[in-house]
Amino acid sequence: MPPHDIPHDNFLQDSAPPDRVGATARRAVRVGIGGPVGSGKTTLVGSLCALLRDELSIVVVTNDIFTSEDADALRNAAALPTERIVAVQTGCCPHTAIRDDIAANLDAVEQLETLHGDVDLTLVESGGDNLTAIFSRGLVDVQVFVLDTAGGDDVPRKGGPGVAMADLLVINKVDLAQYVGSDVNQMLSDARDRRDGRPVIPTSLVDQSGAREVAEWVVAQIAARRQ
Amino acid sequence: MGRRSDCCASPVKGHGSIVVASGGPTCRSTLHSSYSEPPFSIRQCGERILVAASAAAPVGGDALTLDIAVLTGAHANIGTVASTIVLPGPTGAPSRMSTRCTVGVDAHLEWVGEPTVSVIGSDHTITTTVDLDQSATCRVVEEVSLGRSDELSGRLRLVLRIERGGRPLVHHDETFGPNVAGSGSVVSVGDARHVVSEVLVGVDAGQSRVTMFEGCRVGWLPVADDVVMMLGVGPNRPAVRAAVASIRP
Amino acid sequence: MMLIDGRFPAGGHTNSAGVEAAVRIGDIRDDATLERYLRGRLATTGRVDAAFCAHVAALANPTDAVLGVIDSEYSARMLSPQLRDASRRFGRQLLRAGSTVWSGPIVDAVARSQSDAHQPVVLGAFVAAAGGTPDNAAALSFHHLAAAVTSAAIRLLGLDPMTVAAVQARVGCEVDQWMVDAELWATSPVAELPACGGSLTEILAEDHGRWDARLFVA
Repeated sequence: MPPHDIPHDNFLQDSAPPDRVGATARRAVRVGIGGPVGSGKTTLVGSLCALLRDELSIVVVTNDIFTSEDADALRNAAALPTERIVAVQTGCCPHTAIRDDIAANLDAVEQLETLHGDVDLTLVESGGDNLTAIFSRGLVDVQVFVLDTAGGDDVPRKGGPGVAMADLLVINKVDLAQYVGSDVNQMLSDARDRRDGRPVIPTSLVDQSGAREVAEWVVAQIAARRQ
Repeated sequence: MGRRSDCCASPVKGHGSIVVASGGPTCRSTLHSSYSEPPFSIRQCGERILVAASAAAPVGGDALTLDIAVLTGAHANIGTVASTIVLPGPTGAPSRMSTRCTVGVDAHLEWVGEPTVSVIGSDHTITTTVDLDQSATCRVVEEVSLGRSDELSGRLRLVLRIERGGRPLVHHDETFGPNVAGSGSVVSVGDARHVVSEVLVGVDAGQSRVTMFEGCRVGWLPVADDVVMMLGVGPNRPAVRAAVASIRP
Repeated sequence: MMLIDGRFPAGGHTNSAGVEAAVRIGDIRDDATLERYLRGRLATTGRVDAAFCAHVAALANPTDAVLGVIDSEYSARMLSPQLRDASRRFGRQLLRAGSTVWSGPIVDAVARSQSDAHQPVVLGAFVAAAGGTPDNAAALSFHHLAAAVTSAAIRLLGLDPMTVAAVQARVGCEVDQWMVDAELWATSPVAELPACGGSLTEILAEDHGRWDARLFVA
């Protein structure tokens, strides 16, 4: 059909902003990945994508300061096509973008989900931030907070909203603990004390299979929301 | 009309008009008619129609208007003979030059003026409007030099509005000069002394491009699939022209 | 007025209004160069945005055709494709956030626009829906720009927020003089609204839009 024969109404439908879909009506489960700089958020996102991409339709919104090398690295690690990964600029305020003013992230999430239609899992990776940063419930359904043993084994004891409230706490780089003098068991038990029974998973993401337990948790979250 | 030596002379309110018609497939650029009061002198020179200044204008207080009509099927290539030096005149009053162009069915306007040089103390406004038929195309090039060598410029305002089929394509209104808000910053043109703008309608706009070229910054900015605004700023005319040439497809 | 609150969640904190690019090339370095930039930006793109915002705020129940003309007039004043995209993105974000608070025929009309409405258009619609005047709309629009410029400069250069606040207050007083135009902007034909801009504003914004590792959208 030549372009001028397309009914006007179709244009309106195609370009009209999508109605905001409530958490109950929408298909995709939105998972926030937060945590301090260098704790392994990007690696975890890459590993999750690699482990889950065959069974789930995944898109990624990252708030990291994003270079084309980062995009390449994530694409290679996750084997996700470029059009499924979007970087959002946070104006130097990574915690604002996931908590106080989620407009930019929500816009990117909705655009991606609309574009791909069949999305099962939307991963939102925050920029590296401090221990007080958590995701707004307006942006994600569940959130994962990533700490690492090299960041100091007193961090779980200090707590803060990320450690205490995240739906899943990941303590990463357990393979490095012995080199940096961190006590993994102490970290796990401090964390469990602060978390009211919510899960804590120790990981080593040297290879992607290290994220298998986290991936299983994510799949369980999706299954629980589909019931 | 003003005798410019007389400090009490009244300002020039000059008017000119150019009508270009198609003389058939082999000659699409015929000066159909023209009208020129001083300071305008309008001549056909081969394929081009040139506007020459027959008096020193504009100076402060002058109000000049030029109407250009390109009739159905015609291709008009219109320019100026020499740079226009804008002087403050005895009163330092504002001056203005307004060009109104209409371009008809399947017609094309090529309007490439020589640079306007803003001299310290002057206050000049150049307004150019182009009304294109939906099927018409154009290339409109404007160049300004901000001050003579080693001098500050005056105040110079450029207003460009291009419509096609009654819808606006480009509307840009930029004022240069040492006393303009933001002068010297990148909101304006920084420390650039020469500015070129070029609008192309009826080309394959493609992707936008920006380059930094020997102290010049140039942008190729598509505003529609077949419409581009090219902007270039830099230290002098040869550098900016080279930079603009480098960004063309 | 919630709309004027910097905490209103419409993504404004991701807009530097060109400051990130200006800082990178050394055009903004300190309080004085920030003041120069802010003054120029308010006088150019700031006036265009304020005028369109005031114009829309005076509309009660615009037809799609009226909004279509406003959209093409505003687009014609924004030469950089990156800037046009950013303006539509900020408009979309503001529409999403504001629709939870304000409603009315003008908001509905803007929401069903063929392409995502530009930010000043959405802002003007919410001012109208909230019962504000064109005057309020223009003031709000200027304030949004001034806040974007100054807070980005504080974050990127670590300038003293006290002295930056003084800069904003000083320049803001000058802007108040332009507010007399708000009534004119509300009633004049869209084609006659201000179109002030700067060549480097457009060129640098287009360049900034494809930087690797930028911190702000625009």
